[in-house]
Amino acid sequence: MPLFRRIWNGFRPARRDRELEEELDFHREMIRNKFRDRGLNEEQAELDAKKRLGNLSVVREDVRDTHRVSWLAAALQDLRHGVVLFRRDAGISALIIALLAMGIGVNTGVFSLVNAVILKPLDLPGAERAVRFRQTFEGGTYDGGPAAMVDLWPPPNGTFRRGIRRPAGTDEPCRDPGSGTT
Amino acid sequence: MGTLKRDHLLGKLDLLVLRVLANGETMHGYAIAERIEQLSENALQVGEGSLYPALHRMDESGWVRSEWSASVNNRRARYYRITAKGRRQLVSEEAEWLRAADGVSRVLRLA
Repeated sequence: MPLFRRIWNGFRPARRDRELEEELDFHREMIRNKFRDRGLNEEQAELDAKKRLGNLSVVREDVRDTHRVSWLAAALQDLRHGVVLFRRDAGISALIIALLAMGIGVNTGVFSLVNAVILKPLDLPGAERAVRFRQTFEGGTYDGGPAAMVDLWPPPNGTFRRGIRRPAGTDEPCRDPGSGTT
Repeated sequence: MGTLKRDHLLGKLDLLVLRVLANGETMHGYAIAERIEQLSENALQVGEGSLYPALHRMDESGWVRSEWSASVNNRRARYYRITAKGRRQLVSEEAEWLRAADGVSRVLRLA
């Protein structure tokens, strides 16, 4: 049974009981019909069907037990078991908790670092409009671009103009004197 | 041939139900019980007291799926069909049963 249906059914024990009742009623009727087809009269068929089915309340209880040992009951049992184990091996439990705490601490530390360096926006006005220029050529790449290219940003049609040449003889990133952008 | 009590299903009711459903039919509980009795020439009688808890347990385990629909006599009945997980369970339970039966017959033959 899918987990969703199991959880849903767990909230509707009355409906589940009704459905089981209907299922057993159907079974009883089928047996009654079989005995009737074999030539027994109505009363005898009813009696034999009852005898054949036995104690229905036991069946009901068994089916309810099946549902009771559901995920929730199992989870509670696991929890109880966990508490018992925790009490029995307090030393090992403390060690495990310390290791977990350390793991969580390291994780938090690494995240703070990544957040500060990569994820957090720059502490500048209009930081969301900042762009980084990077040029690639045969033999390597470097950050920055010529002032001419920087001046073109943002391009009117939303794409970069291609084919801008660096001024001959320069190998340093060009600096836009107006904005200080590299 | 005498009828074995339901206890003599040797805990193999799940195996028998899965095998009967493995033909791909959807069947209600009564039909499943009838089919097992017919195929075993009445040697095995499936008690309702064990059939329905077993069907509901197998439904919980995801080996069978059930849905309500109209039966031949126009009454609402709950129909069961086997799932892919149920088929895998059938293969493993069948192999286990055959190994056990083979073991018993070896002892009977050789002791």
